Amino acid sequence: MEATEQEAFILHSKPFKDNQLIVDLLTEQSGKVSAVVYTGKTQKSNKKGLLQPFLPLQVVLKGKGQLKNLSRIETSQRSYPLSGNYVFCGFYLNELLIKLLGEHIECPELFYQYKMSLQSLAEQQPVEQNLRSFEMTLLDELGQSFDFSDVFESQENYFYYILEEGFVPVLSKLNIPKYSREHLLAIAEERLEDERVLRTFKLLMRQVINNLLGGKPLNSRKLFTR
Amino acid sequence: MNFSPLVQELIDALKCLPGVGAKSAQRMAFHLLERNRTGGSKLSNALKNAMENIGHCQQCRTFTELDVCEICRNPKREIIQQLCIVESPADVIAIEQTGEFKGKYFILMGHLSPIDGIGPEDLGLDILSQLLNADHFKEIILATNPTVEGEATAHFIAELASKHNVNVSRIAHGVPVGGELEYVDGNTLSHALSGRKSYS
Repeated sequence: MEATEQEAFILHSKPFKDNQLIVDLLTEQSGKVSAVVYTGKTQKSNKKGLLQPFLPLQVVLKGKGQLKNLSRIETSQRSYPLSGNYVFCGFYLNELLIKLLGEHIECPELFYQYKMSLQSLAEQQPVEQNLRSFEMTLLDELGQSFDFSDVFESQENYFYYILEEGFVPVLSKLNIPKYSREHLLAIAEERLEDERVLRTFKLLMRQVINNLLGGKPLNSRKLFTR
Repeated sequence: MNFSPLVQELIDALKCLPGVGAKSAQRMAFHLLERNRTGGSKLSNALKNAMENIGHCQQCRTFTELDVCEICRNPKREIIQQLCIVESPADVIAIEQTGEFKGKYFILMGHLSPIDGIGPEDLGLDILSQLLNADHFKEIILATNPTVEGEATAHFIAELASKHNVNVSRIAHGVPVGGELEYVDGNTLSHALSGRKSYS
């Protein structure tokens, strides 16, 4: 069924037995998939150079179970050359996908956005907007997109975001971040030039993603805290 | 069929070795019991000693039963004021065998890998920071593996070192000796090209 060639990225790999790896892939047609790959003993058959993150691959997945076999791997183009802090951003994207996305769910939009984000990281464009649009696409994929209609209709100045309820006006004091209406409207309309709007957006995303992770820490964040 | 408890215990214990499954463990156990009892006792003693006494060198973090390992104690290694940062003790052996490097080492015991939960604090970077404060190094050579994680680790350490005003260099990557360009992957080749040296 899945013997067709498709584009994929390695998100993470870990050693398995001798000369084998289990890799987590983000693929164009099959979504996130785990697969076993034989890495070979000799220099010529060694595929480890290909099994690096951020390198666009053409792969063929075989097998009926959850865990596929990676039967063919070729590079389609050059790796996205991420340097310095941009690599940490790349790790952040990968960690989000590993920890939040379910397996075997087709997600072509997310795949496309992932490519765009890597491209923009490679070109060293400002990261904040880029990461936010990736997070938005991921939330769409997870069925957690924001519904701004309450914010548009309400006249309140500040809102809380509560999971499964959405934006609620600040009526009583809760111990969670509050967001200004003005900033939320800017986010809804994708007017992200203002620094303060971006900061609100980041806070909002952080709250939502932390909720989705259910208390699990996001390790790639630690790499930025300096 | 069940083996007697002691035999079974030995087989189960041997299975903790990498690449050893039930069948190999059984073969090893029987070999030791049938043919090589002295070798077996020696192994058990060595294992016990090693597990009880070997710790990490206070300076470079390599495995040693001493507080400070041989390389770190060697005064000749101080003179050149170079520090080579590698991922594992096996990398130290590999570099030592080349005979090219005469400075000191620092071993990270891994690389940054957020997904596996390995962050800066797991790599002993606080010890490295102390080391950079205490000793005066002219150069830090980053010899982490040429993987994405290795590069990220190298970058992280380079930033750390820049606070201490030390020169930082990264080992070159390119085509292996005796290799054939035809079989080298595109990434390595592009690194080899971009890092080319003038011919003199």
